[in-house]
Amino acid sequence: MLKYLLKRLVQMIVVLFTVSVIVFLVMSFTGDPVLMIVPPTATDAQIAEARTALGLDRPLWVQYGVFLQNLIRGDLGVSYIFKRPALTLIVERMPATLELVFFSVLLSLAVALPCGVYAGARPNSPFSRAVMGGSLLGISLPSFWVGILLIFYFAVEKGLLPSSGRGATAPLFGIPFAFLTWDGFRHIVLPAVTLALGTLAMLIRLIRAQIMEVMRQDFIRFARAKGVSWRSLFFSHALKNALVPVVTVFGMQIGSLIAFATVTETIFAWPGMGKLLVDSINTADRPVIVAYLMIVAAMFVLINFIVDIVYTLIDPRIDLR
Amino acid sequence: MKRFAALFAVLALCLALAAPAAAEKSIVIGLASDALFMDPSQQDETITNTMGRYMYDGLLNNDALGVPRAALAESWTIGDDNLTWTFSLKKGVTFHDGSDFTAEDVAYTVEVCRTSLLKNFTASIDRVEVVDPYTVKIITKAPTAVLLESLAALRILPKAYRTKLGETAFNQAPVGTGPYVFVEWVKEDHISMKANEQYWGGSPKIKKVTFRPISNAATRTAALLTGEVDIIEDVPVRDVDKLKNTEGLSVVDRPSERLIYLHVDSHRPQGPGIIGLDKNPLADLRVRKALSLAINRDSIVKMIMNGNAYATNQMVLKGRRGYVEDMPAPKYDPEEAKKLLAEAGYPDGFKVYLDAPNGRYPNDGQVAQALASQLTKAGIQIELRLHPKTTFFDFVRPGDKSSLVMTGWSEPIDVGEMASVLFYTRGKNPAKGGSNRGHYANPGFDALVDEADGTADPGKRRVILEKAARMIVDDGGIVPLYFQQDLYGKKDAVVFEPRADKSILAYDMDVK
Repeated sequence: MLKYLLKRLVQMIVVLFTVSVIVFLVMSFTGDPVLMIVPPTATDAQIAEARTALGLDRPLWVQYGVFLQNLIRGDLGVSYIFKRPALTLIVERMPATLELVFFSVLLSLAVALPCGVYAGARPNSPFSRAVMGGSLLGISLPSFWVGILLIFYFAVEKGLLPSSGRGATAPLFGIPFAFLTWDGFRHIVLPAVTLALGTLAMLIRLIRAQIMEVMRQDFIRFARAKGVSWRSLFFSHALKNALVPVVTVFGMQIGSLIAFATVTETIFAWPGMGKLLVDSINTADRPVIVAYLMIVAAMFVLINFIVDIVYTLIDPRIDLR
Repeated sequence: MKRFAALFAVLALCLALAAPAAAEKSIVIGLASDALFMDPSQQDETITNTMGRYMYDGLLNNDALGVPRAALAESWTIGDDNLTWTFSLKKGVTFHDGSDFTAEDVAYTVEVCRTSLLKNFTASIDRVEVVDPYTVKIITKAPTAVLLESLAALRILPKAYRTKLGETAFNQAPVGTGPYVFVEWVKEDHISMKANEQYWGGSPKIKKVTFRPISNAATRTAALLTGEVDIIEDVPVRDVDKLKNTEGLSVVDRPSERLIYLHVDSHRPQGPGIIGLDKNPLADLRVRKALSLAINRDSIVKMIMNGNAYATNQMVLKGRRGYVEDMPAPKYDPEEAKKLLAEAGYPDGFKVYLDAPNGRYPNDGQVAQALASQLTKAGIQIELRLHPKTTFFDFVRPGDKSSLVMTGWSEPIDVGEMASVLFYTRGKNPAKGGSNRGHYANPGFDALVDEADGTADPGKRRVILEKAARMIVDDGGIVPLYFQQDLYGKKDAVVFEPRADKSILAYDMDVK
């Protein structure tokens, strides 16, 4: 186990290092941040001065060296625009994103598990067909469109839910969360549904396929012959065996939800870190973009690691080595 | 149980917040983006400037038309040397933390802005002398007719408070003398302020202001439709009719300060953006005239901007120095354009790159495409190069890449400011011509700009600038296209007049 952990740690560092190189290279081709932060009336001398102040006049590999050096000290740089540490800016907005993702994940699981299992067990029932049709829509509709549609139906036409923003928050362990207040909870519903839709639809399809596959196997027939109840058959025998690939995909999905809640956050004016990324790209605020991508990469690696651990819990036959 | 009680308390608080406060007027303003700073000396950007107008005052504050009016300065005189301005300050004004406003704060503010992104507004100032707590002398390097406009851009900071807190902490807990007092800023979610009952100009009618940054335009419209916000800025053109047709809502517009125009490579013998020729056709006045004649501005405004723009031949809005009352309206005459091209020796036209941004200004990419097709029809064959906004300004920096550039400029003061940045001959004066993307080089024009910058008399400056504006438009150094339109959506109950600077100022507004 220890050996495995060490191996994963080394892997993680290699991945993060590679990401940092790629991100840094790509960043240097995406527009000049200096022109974004000097006033439009700046003279050539002022522009040169700003460039030197940001260290952007040095060769790229020197800039990267400085970046790595700071990174090792836990310093991800200071935002050109906000003049505050990039890490602080991201961490400040992280609770809002995590909260949104948490509810989306909860919602996708709550809907996808029963629907997927049912559709897998009774593939020909009308309900299953409806679920499958619906899931196809869920996968193919773009989230910005769904979001706007939900806003116009539930907020503008029906007046049931607020259109945007995070609403009132209440602190938990000193961190403000919206779901703790009724007003805040009402604000979460629409963005969480929008964000969940794609994942939910995909999970349904995956669970259904897995269940159908497992149901054809011999041990299910034995169980049935043995007289195991339907409920137990599905939820403990079939589902457990169908779950390993589902967990993999689900883990990846959580990662992407955190990383790419961007669109949903922008539509619903949700003050999360995804919106920060969009704004930073628009202003070529390199330190924030780099810090964001590094953090997201770290999250992906971490989630993958957790997924691997979860495997062993679901299926003791899997050996971590 | 304890947690339950806490939850209950929170719920009660929410209900209390949701309940309408008795007769206390409040307003929720939907902005297109969050403020970058609460400290107005850190950035020259629309929303940050708006925050500066809420919480702070300048020695002068701009009125709705952008004309500076006395604020913290009660009166001023200018010395015989045309350099020394003496301001007497209002007495009895206090900052929100209770400390007195004095001349020290003025000197401090100028010093802070000298090294910040607002340094262009302090460039003309040589030094500030504190005579006594309520008298301050500002000595300019040269006679400066735009000093009052520049001073209006500097929001007065509390010296003692800001030095005690430091820059970063001050930005989180800002204090000024303005009509509203900072309450809370939750980034990307909301900014709230309350009325400054001690405001020297009288206490505001609207007591509570909440700003909500909603960057997605459709969502912003939705928030107004649901009533969550009372007024929004930057209504997307496609939503104008919907808002107009909704009962209880209305749309207000006004010409924006932002001009969309073309830079023309007008003086260099060779143009880097000219394709397949070793000379620069645009250096010929007839060709530049043809360029303007080949553009159908009205059709661009009508077809692409849905009528939400104003075709023009001016550099600045009416009222600004350099607006020319009798400037002829832009003409569209493709036949005449072809004739002029033939006369200049290009009967079959020539090829040139047009560099334009895509996503920087409303519909900019489509406008550039329309321009390309109109110009090509007249014989100026355009190869369009559209750039994303983060790389555009880098690409079109004066140099060896472009000869024809479509871009925008928002001029808050007058033609002189614009001319010295965009059209002054490059390399003659290090402080001028920094963004002269068309490499316009006209000694007569430079002389006028210098003359305007050498007088302390705004009236004289106006006359000179009108001459300069007429000269460069006639010379085809700039091809003005249109002024954008600022669009606001609001509830009928909100009394609101749009301002030149685009700020939605609750102090000037009311809720019925």
